[in-house]
Amino acid sequence: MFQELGHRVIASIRELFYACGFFLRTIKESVPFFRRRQIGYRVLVMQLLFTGVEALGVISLIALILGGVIIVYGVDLLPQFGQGELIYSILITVIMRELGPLLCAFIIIARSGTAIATELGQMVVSHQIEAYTSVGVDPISYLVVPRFLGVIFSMILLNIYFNLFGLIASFFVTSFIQPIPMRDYMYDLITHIRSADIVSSMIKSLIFGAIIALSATYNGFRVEQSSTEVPQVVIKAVVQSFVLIIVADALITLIYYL
Amino acid sequence: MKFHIRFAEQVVGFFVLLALLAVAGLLILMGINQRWFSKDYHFTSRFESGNNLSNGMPIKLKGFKIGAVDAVTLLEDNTVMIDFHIFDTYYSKVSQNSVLELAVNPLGIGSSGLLFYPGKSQGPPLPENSMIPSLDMEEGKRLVAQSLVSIPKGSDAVSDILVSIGPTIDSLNTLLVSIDDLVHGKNTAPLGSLIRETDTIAANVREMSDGAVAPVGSILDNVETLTESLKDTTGIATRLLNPQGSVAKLLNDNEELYKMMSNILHSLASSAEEIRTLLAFANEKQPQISTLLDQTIDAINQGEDVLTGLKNNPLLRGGIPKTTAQPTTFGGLRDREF
Repeated sequence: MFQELGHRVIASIRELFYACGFFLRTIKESVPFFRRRQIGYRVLVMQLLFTGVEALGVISLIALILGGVIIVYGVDLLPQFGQGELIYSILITVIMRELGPLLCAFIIIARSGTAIATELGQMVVSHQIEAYTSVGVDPISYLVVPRFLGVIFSMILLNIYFNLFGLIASFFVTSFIQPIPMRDYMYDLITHIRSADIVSSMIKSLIFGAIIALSATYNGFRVEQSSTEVPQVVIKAVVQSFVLIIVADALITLIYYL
Repeated sequence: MKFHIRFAEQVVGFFVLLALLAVAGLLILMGINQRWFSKDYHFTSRFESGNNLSNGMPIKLKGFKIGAVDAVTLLEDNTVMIDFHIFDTYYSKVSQNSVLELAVNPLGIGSSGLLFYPGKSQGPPLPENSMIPSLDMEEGKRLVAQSLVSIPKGSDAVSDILVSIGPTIDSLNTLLVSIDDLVHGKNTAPLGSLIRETDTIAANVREMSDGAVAPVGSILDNVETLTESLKDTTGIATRLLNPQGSVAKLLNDNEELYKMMSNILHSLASSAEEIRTLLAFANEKQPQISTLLDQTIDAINQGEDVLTGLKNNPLLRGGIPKTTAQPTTFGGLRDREF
């Protein structure tokens, strides 16, 4: 039993070190990526297209509905307690700092995290990775880095769009239900937004994007021989991403309030 | 190939550009709104205590935010120094002899703030980094005492209540003294006289009631005696049945009373018989009377119908018109007038 336990602990530590090495290698390869203007640039553009542009519809819809619901409830309830001004703080906290990055991350995990893990897993099974290596193409710099950067940029951009739709476009939607003077709304909203809110939201997007991309690519490469391993690593990538994102969100929020 | 894949770079470029423009616009609006690019003028002040003082606390002039506190520091002499800034648009208000006052809601609700009172000096504004005294410190109090700064009367509801508590307590005290004088008969006002008269009336009533006690006592004794005698009812029955008593004497009158009553009853019986005969006659004639009334009603109804028919007859309505003589169109020569 002790032997089994020790074996598992050592294997976990080795895996952790390997993951750290993978992460550092990805970061190292990402730095000169734009300078080299290599063929991976096209992969980055396609990644932005699939992860960012194609997810815009669902992101904007969620943001619109969420923002609209908060505005309708807030405008109705909060003035009853003499706290009508709180609606802006609630909107900013929920849309910009908390749910915006989280929901964007969940959607990217569901759409792109699974796709990346599956794609890389299939490439391993079909020996494409070996082929790249044999002709001197580094799989990290050619396959991982464009996806890593693409997911991070997409995450940041989608978060910006989520904020735009959740904070501003939802106002126009709720104007049909609860008319609020637009000038007052915009003025109060901008007054309540702090630079710390924007920075917090951007940092979350950056970290969540990195977690999703690394988890997907790392698990994709863990496939060894059989295509039956692919769904298993996809599930693992999704669960790992969810857990790490929740933990990271809690840590960032904690640091923000310290 | 799909459009967005064929023009992937353009689509992604537009996607990125739009987001960057939105962020840039938001930052510019925030900068303007939150005065990122405006110059602020920094000053200092001192307070006795740091209670209710905090970083970011607004500085207000007549309800308008004109600045904010940057830092609160405890000094060596245990006084508290604050660094604050005034917005450039309100810098001209920072005149000589201006003071600061810490405004805290006494109920502990709502936000506190620093109130800025400009001095009455007409000179140029104070230079940056000058010291503006607070009303906590002697210098601030001296400026107020010398009327070098005008402090408007507080207008919040709680302050008004607190200010009015003193006069209310004074009024209550005066009222209690007046009541005490009234009770002790020292008051010469009409109410005092009234109370004194009431006192006299009460004394008179007491004397009168003392005089009336003796007669009432004897009446009560008589009632008691009567009650005692009525307790035994057998005595009354014996007296009523006594052959020598009044009841026996009244009944023993050779039946004269009985005869009189019998005659009266006979007369009443005869009258009742006559009434009965009259009622039987009336009852007998009732169908005829009823028939007569029915016929009368029929005649009236028929007459009403005739009148209605006459009224509604188009030939007769409005009476018979006057007939106008219509000369004949045909006549002989001999009828002509020449």
